[in-house]
Amino acid sequence: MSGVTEDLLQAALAAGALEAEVFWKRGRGRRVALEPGLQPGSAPVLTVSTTEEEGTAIRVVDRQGRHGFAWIGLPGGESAGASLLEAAWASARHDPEGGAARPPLGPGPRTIVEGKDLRIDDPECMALPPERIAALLLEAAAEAGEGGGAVAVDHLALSEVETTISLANSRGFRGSYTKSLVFLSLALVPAEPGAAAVVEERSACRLADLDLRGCIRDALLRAGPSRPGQAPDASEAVPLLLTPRAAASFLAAIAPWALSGEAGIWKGSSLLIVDDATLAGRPGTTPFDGVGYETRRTILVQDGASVGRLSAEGGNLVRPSYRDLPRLEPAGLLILPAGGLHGGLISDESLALSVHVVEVVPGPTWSLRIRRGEFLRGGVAMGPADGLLWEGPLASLLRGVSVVGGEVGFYHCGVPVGAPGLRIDGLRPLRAESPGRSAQRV
Amino acid sequence: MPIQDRSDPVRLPPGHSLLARLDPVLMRQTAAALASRPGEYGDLFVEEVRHGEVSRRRGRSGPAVVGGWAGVAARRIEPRGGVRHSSAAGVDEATIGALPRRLRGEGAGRRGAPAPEPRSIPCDPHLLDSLAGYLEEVEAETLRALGEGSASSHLDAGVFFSARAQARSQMVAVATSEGDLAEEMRDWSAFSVTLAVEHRGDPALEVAQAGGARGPDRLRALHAPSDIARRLVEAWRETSSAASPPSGETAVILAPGAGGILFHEACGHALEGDRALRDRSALASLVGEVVGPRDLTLVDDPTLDGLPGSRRFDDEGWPTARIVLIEAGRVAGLLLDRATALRAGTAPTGSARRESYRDLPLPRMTNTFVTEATRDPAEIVASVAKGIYVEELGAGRVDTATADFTFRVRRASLVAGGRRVAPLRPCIVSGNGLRALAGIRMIGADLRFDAGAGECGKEGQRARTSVGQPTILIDGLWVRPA
Repeated sequence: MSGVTEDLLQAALAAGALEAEVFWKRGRGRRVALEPGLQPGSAPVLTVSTTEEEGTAIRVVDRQGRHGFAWIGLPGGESAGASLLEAAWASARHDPEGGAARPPLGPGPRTIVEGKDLRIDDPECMALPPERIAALLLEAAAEAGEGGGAVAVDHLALSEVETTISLANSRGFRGSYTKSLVFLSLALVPAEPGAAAVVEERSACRLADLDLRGCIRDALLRAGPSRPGQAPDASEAVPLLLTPRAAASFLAAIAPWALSGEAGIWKGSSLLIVDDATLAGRPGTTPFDGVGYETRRTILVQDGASVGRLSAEGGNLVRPSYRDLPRLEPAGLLILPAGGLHGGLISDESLALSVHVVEVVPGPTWSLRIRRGEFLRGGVAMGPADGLLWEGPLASLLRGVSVVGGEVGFYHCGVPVGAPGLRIDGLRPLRAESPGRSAQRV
Repeated sequence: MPIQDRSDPVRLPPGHSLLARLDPVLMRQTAAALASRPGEYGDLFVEEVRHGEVSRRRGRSGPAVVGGWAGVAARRIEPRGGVRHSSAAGVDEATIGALPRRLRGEGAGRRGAPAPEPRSIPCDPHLLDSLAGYLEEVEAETLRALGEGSASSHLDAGVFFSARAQARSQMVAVATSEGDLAEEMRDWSAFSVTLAVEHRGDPALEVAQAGGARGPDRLRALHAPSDIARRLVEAWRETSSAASPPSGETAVILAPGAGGILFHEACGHALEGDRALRDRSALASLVGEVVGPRDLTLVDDPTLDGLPGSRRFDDEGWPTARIVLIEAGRVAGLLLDRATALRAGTAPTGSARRESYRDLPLPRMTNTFVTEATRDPAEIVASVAKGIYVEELGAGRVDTATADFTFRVRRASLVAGGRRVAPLRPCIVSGNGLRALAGIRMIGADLRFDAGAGECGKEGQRARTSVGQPTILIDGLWVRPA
């Protein structure tokens, strides 16, 4: 436990605060990035960047119930205590509403020092010298560069961060933990017409849990040249079999809906969506949230119905930095797996469409664009299905989820998400996406 | 280009000067120690930031935030382009002195003596008072304007008002292994106001944003609350009666200041050295070639006074200058920082920017605009038989490799028979940057900058920028309803 939090907390109370909370964060990080040389055969360019940061934030409630918030990004926050308190009082003076809409201060007496087996602290974080990381990245870049020549590696970067958090409030909560995070980013660019520029990312708490090969495989799949598919007969409903990576894109797209608490009820949907900050080794996992409530699994959507929401006292307040006020945010969205194996998503000998890469575009009318897919019959590949498009209401998309796979893959689609394979039935018509725009002239 | 003698930095008042607290000799020596081998370059970046913000929802103030940080960073660029960078929180001589060891991967060593000055975030209560008072006045003026000149009382309808204002003061000092030492204070303030009015069950949303002013007082002088209120309410009334936009290929007139973001995204990013030199830019491969009409000139100019991207030197200490990106229709130049200049075998252009000491510098735009030509704006509108007149562009997406772009048009009006005839609902405009440049038919004589609230994102780093352009007519863009 940092002495900074305790000292500052006592100073705030001694100065007349009705309530107070101190959040302290110290972090160190390293990023190793590799860019292939500009000329064929030339040496790659290596960038190694390290950082150390420390910051303290204080929230006070004064005798009039007004909330104040101030932060400072300097090491040894105790030496800045007086000015930090002064800044918090100045902030409180601009809160005439008595803090009605402010994030709550958190729970009462309890002490949490990271004790669960959450696997969020990697003893090996930044233990490998940068040269070893660079060698790993070089190998990966070579593997990614062997993707048939259609794409080239733009850059590949691995970031490692280790953070220690300490939190104390005047209600008696004391908590601290240390957490590590590794983040891999692979950017591919087209080397021939028809290929696409993509960035594929992975995150985990431990380097050993990072799926480097999966990242390369999915990046190549996403970036490779399109192989136009023929739209199936409009009268035939073709089940879509989303791989876990495609299902993760699907989940990232429907996340705002799942988090809104306004999910309608669609009978037949097998979707069970949760936010889970307790999964071992996942980037969003913490023992307590940004104000001290113990984290938990929150069931958001069950059988197509909204059954839960993120809440201020439910362990769902997140503080990305000491500079931020606590805010409601998902820690790790997940479609819970069911019994189905991925092969089991295919039920019979009829035609199906295996979807590896999908773009789900929200709107008044939702669209599902298949960037990479294969027609299957009885599990046997029948030909490409790239460029097929479905448009319709979100309800059809959700109601159509009929089978959920049994193995979850974890990805980083802007936010960390996990999903098993999904089977979606009843989407028709699937049609070939128009290559051009409307020819109508104004 | 010869290295300029920048060894005599402009001195700032002691309360606003990092060099008044830090030993310039230590700064220079530390920077020199970063580059110990022939061909290496090193720099030291020191930063102290103070931040204040207030927010407001209809009739109520929101959370006020006061904060600040300070940190230092050291960097070495190796002859073959490799980069080593290390940063740490704190601005004191012990932290600075430890940087060369950190850069060599030897750790920080024992922390040195305490900082020579108390570590603090001097809080100016007047800053928050001033920002809060400004937002309160904007709200009062908006509600007043909303209630005026209307048959039905909009105040009875659902009115949602929210606003946020921020002020930030950044002190920067840079020392380089070439012996340069420079420091500067960069103040900036901005606001964003959102007005949503539900009328006959149909909610309409309007947003006004502006910034770039040095402090709250100048923000108020540049953007009077009554002017903001008038703009918001006018825009809302237009939206309430707007027609459906056309679909298909059409002539697009960009109102002055409204379309600069298109040139920023489609041309500026494509001419930033990191993308351009890695062959990731459709435009950069055309350096020296004609891509637009003879009266098209696009520049990036951080030397203009009082705009969000303005600065005397960049975040590597290199003096800023007006950089011509497209001159008389011909692709003329790139934006280069030290690392990309090394790759290009030329001098930097003073275009290095970093969001904070924690981040590596990148070549970036500052104040990017199309210069004035000669056409009368009225003549431009009169020349269009059918098209749209874009008054405000929203968010957009550009692929710099192909130059394809898509932007949301927040406000536009229909042009028919050489006149603007009706406001339009929001729509999407898309096209290809190279074809759009070739499709420029007329450029006006009425250069205007945007309101100064623009923020550009690149590789996870945000930077304040501004854009501008005179009235421009472009053929062959595609429009569809949003």
